[in-house]
Amino acid sequence: MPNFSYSVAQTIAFSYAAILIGLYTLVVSTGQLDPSSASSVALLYDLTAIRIWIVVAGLAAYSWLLASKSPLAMPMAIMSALAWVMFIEDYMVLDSVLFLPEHPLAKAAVFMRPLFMVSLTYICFKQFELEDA
Amino acid sequence: MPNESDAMRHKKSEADLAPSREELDILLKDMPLFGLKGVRQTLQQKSRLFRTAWFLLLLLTTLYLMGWFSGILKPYMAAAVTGESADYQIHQIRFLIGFGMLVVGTVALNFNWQIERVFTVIAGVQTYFIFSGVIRQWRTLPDDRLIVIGSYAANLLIILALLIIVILEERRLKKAALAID
Repeated sequence: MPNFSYSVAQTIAFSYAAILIGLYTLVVSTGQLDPSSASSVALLYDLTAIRIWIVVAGLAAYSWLLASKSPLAMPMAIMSALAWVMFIEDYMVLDSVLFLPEHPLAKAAVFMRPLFMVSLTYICFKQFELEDA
Repeated sequence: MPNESDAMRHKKSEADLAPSREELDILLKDMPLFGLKGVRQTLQQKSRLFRTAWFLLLLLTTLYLMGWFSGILKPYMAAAVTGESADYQIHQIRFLIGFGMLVVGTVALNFNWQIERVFTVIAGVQTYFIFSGVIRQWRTLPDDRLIVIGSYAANLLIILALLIIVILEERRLKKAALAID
């Protein structure tokens, strides 16, 4: 049975995904794009769209596996690795290209990202512990 | 001074329990740590297909480094066509991450520990690289640059195929070992 910290980690992960999807929907619907240069518009659109689709697919896969009581550890390990890879890419490369809209959702997404990654990694290790036991 | 004598007795019993230098040497003799001996030992236990896939992965990494530093690969990079510095940086970061994953894979092989899991995660990240890279190039490059997308996708798909071979072989060997037990 998942413990309290596991439930907290799950809540953080779901909340972050919801915030990110909400923010992307808001940005696309209102066209609030303010990239640093005209040439980076395509890059911005591509990378944001790819990341959102990965978040949506990950969320759907996680919910499905959780509901069907299937093994979760390996998919969680892959998702955690991807979250860290995307973070490294964003931090080291895309910092100068990506924009940050002045919206509370954007601030919440930036604030929650480290918490999300730690939560995802925790869920992954806990899941391995549960499945190996 | 009862407290002092208790402490001395406790210290003495701790010293008695500690392993001697000779015992430690015997215990650590077969520990591979980060020596290549451990990788060789693990590879000897694996199938020919597993070994071939692993050596091809190492060969591709070496060839990439040779191609990169000699400048042969540069015209085929997305950054050469798009002129976007972020593309160039992403390429460098992704190679660094790929190289890091190869190191993690080597450590897993060295200790013969969780090989299937480690390589499955590596294959997952590689799939992300293919997926995001091809979409990015498809949207950015002009139509007559299909050869760049093709070579990029083929290169990454070969690496993914080798990783899948390593995973499937490890799974097969583990099942075979369990059946013998």
